Amino acid sequence: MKKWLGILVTTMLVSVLSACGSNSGSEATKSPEKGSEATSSPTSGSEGAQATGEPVEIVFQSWVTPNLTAEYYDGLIERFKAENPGIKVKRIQPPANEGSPDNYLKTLLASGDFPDVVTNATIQMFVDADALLEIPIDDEIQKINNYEAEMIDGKLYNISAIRQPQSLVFYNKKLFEQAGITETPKTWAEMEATAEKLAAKGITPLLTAGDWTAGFTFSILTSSEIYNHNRTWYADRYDEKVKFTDANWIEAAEYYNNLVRKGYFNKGALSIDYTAVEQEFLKGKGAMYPMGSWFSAAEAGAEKDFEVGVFATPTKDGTQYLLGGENAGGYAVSKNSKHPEEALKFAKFMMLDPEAHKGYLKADALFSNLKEPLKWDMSPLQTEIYNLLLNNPPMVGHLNNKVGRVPVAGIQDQYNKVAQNILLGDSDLSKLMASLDDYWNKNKQ
Amino acid sequence: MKNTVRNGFRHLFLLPLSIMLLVPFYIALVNAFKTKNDILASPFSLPIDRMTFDNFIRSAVTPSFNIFKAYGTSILITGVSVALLILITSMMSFVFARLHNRFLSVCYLLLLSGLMIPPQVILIPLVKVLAALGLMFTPQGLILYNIGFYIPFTVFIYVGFIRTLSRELDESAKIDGASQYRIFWSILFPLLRPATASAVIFLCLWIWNDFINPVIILGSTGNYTVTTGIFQAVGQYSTNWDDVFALVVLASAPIFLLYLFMQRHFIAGLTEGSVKG
Amino acid sequence: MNKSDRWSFATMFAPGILIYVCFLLVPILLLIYYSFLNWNGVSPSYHFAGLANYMEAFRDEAFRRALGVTLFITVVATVVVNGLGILFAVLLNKKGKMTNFYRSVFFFPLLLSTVSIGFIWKSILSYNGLLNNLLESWGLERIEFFGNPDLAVLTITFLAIWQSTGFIIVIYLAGLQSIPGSLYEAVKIDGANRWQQFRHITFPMLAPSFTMSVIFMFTGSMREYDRVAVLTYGGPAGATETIAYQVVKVGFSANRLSYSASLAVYMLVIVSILAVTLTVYLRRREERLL
Repeated sequence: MKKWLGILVTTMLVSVLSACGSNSGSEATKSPEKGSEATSSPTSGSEGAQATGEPVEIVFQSWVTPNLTAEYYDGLIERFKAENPGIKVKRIQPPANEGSPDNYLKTLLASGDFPDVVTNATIQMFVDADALLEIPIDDEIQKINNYEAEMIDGKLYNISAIRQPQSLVFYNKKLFEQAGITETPKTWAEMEATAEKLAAKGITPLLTAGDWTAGFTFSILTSSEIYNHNRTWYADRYDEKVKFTDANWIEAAEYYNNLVRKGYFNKGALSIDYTAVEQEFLKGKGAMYPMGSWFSAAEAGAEKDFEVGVFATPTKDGTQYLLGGENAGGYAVSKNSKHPEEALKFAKFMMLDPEAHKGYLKADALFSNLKEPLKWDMSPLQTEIYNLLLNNPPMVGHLNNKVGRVPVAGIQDQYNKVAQNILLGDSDLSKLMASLDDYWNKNKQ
Repeated sequence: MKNTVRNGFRHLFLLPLSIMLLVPFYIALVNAFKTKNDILASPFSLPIDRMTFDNFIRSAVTPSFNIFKAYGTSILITGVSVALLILITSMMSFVFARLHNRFLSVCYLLLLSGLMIPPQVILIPLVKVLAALGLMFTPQGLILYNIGFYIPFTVFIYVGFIRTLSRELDESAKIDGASQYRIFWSILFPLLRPATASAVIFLCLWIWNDFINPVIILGSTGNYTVTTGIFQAVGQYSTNWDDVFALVVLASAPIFLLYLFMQRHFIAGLTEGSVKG
Repeated sequence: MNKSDRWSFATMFAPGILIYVCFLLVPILLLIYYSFLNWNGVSPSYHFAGLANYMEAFRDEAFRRALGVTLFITVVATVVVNGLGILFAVLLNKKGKMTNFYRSVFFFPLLLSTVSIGFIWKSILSYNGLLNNLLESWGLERIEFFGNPDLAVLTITFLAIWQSTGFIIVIYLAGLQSIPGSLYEAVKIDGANRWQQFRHITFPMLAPSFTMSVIFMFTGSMREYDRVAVLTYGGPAGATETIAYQVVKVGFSANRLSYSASLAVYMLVIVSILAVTLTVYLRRREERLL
């Protein structure tokens, strides 16, 4: 009996502590239950708040990169606040060293602290988790080119109006000149010949890095050949119609493996990360740097003594073809937001307000995908990319992006392992490519 | 004469080890006062002629990070967690050391299993529990979790120490009619000072430096500790070593000052408290 | 024991055990429960999977590799740290100005968070880091501390050793100071030299400190996570993935919470069995020696 009294006392201790918690933190404490009440009557909550004159606060998860700096976000938030005095925006950012905010958002979701507005998240995953608000197709959304492409089961969950070409190779014009190269390579064979010429002059032909950069480089060098011939490859992979061990993939991996075996990649590639390899290229320590269009933003702001050009990653037969994202990522709104209207307003502002839109495009070197595209003041390199984009058919995704369907979660980690293993000297390509199939089979749900 | 030679031999081992242990601190400290270019050009030199405080001024307070606010949160979380831990576990260990029955043996085993769990592994279930109790995103939630997580370690230190103390002490007090609470708090607890000192030292260090739990449990409510704060401020892609070093110095300064200030107690508490564990 | 004693003991004991159960034991039990499901951690729907996760983990090569890496780091770090710890504690066990200096310095690495330490070491050891720049300026080759798979594991192990050695020295120092001087007097009369004194008195008498240091290093290294997460992200090509790192990675980035829970349970079982065996063995050894 006495023992139970002891337990009772403890329970009281705990509850007193928790009571303090919910009082002092009541503004911030959002249980999922409260959230869903708000969703069932989305307008009442927000009107109530505005009627009493108290500013509404929405939480916004930003995605900070070397291009999209904290200052970039804070500047836009200031402008939004000035135009919407009733809405306060609190910016948070993921804490970890990862390629996406997904893990952070998952923990927040599990705890009921999912931000009102998120950016750069894997949309499909959070739609599956029933976390995102369906975005009504209004006039503003209809200004976006091909917005239907991102719909999941006929519903739109993210606001994005961008095109982001990713399968690009940036090259150092000065080093190309030194090696006597006048024409950029279009086919695999030309690529190898170019690299050979550069290597003969003692120039490092290609640059890559460890972490996610290895998998990314591998993917853009190899998969443009595959998806050129099958633009729904991931969907077919789900249906078991194709495999990573098919002859075309092995052949593409062979091409990458050859570039590695002949020593065309930078030494110590696996010891440096994305930020470092970017610096290497800008310092002129390598002739070709396969990377997405966002690199051109860093290029525009860098001091250097050479010009940078760009071409699409070569394919086997020389077909010009770009991989990349169309209306991917962008901004999404939480289904459980207490202030869905304000959140949606903010999300739209960040993507569609002309100044914000241009700022976003410029900061990350993206291209407008509005029906009346907005042009921003592009650097010469960015104009080159823009022209590549105009001359090419609509893009498909690659790596962890949609190719007919979104691939299984975390597949990019396996691409990383394959690419890093090849860089480490493992040439057993059928085994390495089989590990992608293996990963796929284990992780499809 | 022979002694001097032997002493020289001693330093031959000890000096290189000290240098090994100190070099990273030296690098962080001197480079925090240099510009980015100077760091790259001469990372090991002293910044005597070109010393700059810009790194500190720039990175201590930004729109998204305020080191003083972070100090406040860290001091609150660490102080309350450690005080409650000492209060709760010292009494708990007294019971473990003085009573023996099957229930307590099972509890002791359960506590030991807690020593082996990596905190990252129970993150999601922990979040569920805290959310169910309404403690998510509150300092209280983090404090209660800290207590739960460090109970096994603290009990481990205390139980070993209490067992070395003679039972005659409590028994004679018992004859004088003192309650168990009195026996513990007025007779035993003062004798536990070495164990308390070492427990306080470790708990302060660990809780102050903890990273993943404050990130998750404090969430986005605007509360951040020094450790989570600098990670946020440094960010994912940073190679701005000037800011990084300045922030590392700012984050560690309080702990270093505390250490230098309390050094004697530090070492004494450890040497007396830890062996008996 | 009378009623009021029982009441006192119960109230002294209850708060601690209750908080422990709520905030550590219940999450562990939930984790075990998740390991029998097929749940991704976020989706509203899941179903029972029985032992499927455990069967899969048993055949999982990446998991076996992580287990190997973790055991390597643990064994090497535990042996080296304890060897160095005893050696330096013996060297330090003397009064003097320098002794105090050394003691303070040895404790330094313990004062910093792994995040700060990670940043500092990264700036020193990365390929474009301070040390490699120095090596290059001396005309030497750059060293791939984090890029070469074998070297990366060694680097992580080295940093684990770097961070713990000071603390272990302090523990041994405490042990040394509790050895009564009279024991040495006795054997000195028998003409024992320094090595014999160490072998027959110092080392056996250090048994309790030895037990504590070994267990501390063992359980600490088996859950190695922070350094890997800050410095290598498990790379290159998974070479530095420890079990704890893999549990987190599988649970979060591959979105398979239930599978990662089963890996965590395996880990808990393996660590518990090894730690208990080691503790029992070391305690018996203490009894035999003292």
